[in-house]
Amino acid sequence: MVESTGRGVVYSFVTAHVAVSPGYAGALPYSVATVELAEGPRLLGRVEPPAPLAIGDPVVPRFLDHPTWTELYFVPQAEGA
Amino acid sequence: MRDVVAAPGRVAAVAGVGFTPFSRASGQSVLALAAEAVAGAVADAGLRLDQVDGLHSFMVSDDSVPCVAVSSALGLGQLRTVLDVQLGGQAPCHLVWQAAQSVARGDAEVVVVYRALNGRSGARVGSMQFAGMGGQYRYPIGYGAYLMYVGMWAQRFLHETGQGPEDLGAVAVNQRRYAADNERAARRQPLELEAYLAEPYVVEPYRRSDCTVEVDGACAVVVTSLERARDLVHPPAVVASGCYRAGPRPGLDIGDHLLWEDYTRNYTTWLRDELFGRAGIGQGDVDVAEIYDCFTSTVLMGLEGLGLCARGESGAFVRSGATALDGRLPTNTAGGLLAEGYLHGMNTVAEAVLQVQGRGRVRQAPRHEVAVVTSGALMDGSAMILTADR
Repeated sequence: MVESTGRGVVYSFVTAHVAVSPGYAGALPYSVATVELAEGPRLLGRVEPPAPLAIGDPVVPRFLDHPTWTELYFVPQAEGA
Repeated sequence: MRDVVAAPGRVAAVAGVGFTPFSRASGQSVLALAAEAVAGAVADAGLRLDQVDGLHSFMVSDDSVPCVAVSSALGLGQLRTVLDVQLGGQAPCHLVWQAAQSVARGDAEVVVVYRALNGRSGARVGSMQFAGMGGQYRYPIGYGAYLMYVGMWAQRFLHETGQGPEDLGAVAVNQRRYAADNERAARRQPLELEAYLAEPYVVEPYRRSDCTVEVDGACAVVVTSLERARDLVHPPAVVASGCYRAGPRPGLDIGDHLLWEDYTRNYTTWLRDELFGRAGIGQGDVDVAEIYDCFTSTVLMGLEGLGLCARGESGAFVRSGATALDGRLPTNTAGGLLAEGYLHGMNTVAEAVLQVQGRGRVRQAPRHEVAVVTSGALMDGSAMILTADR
């Protein structure tokens, strides 16, 4: 187990401009990043807003409640510091 | 000719290939497609169906038919080996190598390896949700398509190696040039780099021409002993070496790459030394390359992973014309999965066979004694070296 602040940097990302992921009803475009946490492990999460985004960008965590689950997503550190 | 150190026992070779047409809607069952390609490959080799005693195939989420069904449809005699594996594009070289091992051991004499699917009109892998535990972490956040996973690696690969859109585009342009001369290809219209760069993103870093084109169809190759193959219709394509490799932490399913350490190096890096070592040849001996290309970036990563290019130089290599028919290393000479169609790499293997046999027609590489072919894009995959008979 690793305790984490949830802060990290973008290791890589993709930005979807076309609805290619079945069942996902969110707005286009959106970005999903592999985030390398400061403590080492990596997580997948959406990054809001989707662009501009670059590898190495620092990000911080946010939580969004959906009806049956809670989503961990990320925002750029400058906006969420 | 170079010396090849083959597997112990008999040496195996690919003797023939078979194809159905590739289409957007075959109007046929997958079983009918599979039977047509298998029968076509056997006839191409100059063998009879009653000589077939092994079948190998693969499927993704039950999108194909098992080997026993094909045996029944074609009225084959007894099968001495079958493999029905749940793999995608990682499988073709792996299965041909397994067939070669069966033949080398004497377990079977004639093994046909096939892939059949209605990949356009039926279940499409591009939007398929994969069974396994990994999906629960991906699908709810809109991370649920194969091009997103490979794109995630591509973005990091381009970043670390200092390459960019022009390098991806060069791959698409080069392969479209081959496809223009391939009547089987789904995308035959020419593509220029400017037009490529003007295409909107589908999933950044990929544009439409970075992505394979899904088709209905089937493809098969026939593996038998080199001794037998020498008496058949076409020159044998000797199976000199084959390898499967899953690197460490390959994930919970084929779309789960989160635990993989380095998105800039795929399975080709992990199997390279064993692949070339077993064949007893070096990268400089390779005349033709058929690199698995569900997306453009996997060609670049494969060229670098296999050591056919130095790290970070694959894009410049392709842009220099080295992978064109008159270049140093003709690559993906049928147009690849990008332009010929997405038969999950079975057609990639078949094209390597045709090149080594000297049957590439207008797309024949001038030197074709040694071909390297790969299967797969990310954490796991397989590869093979085929050589001319000596």
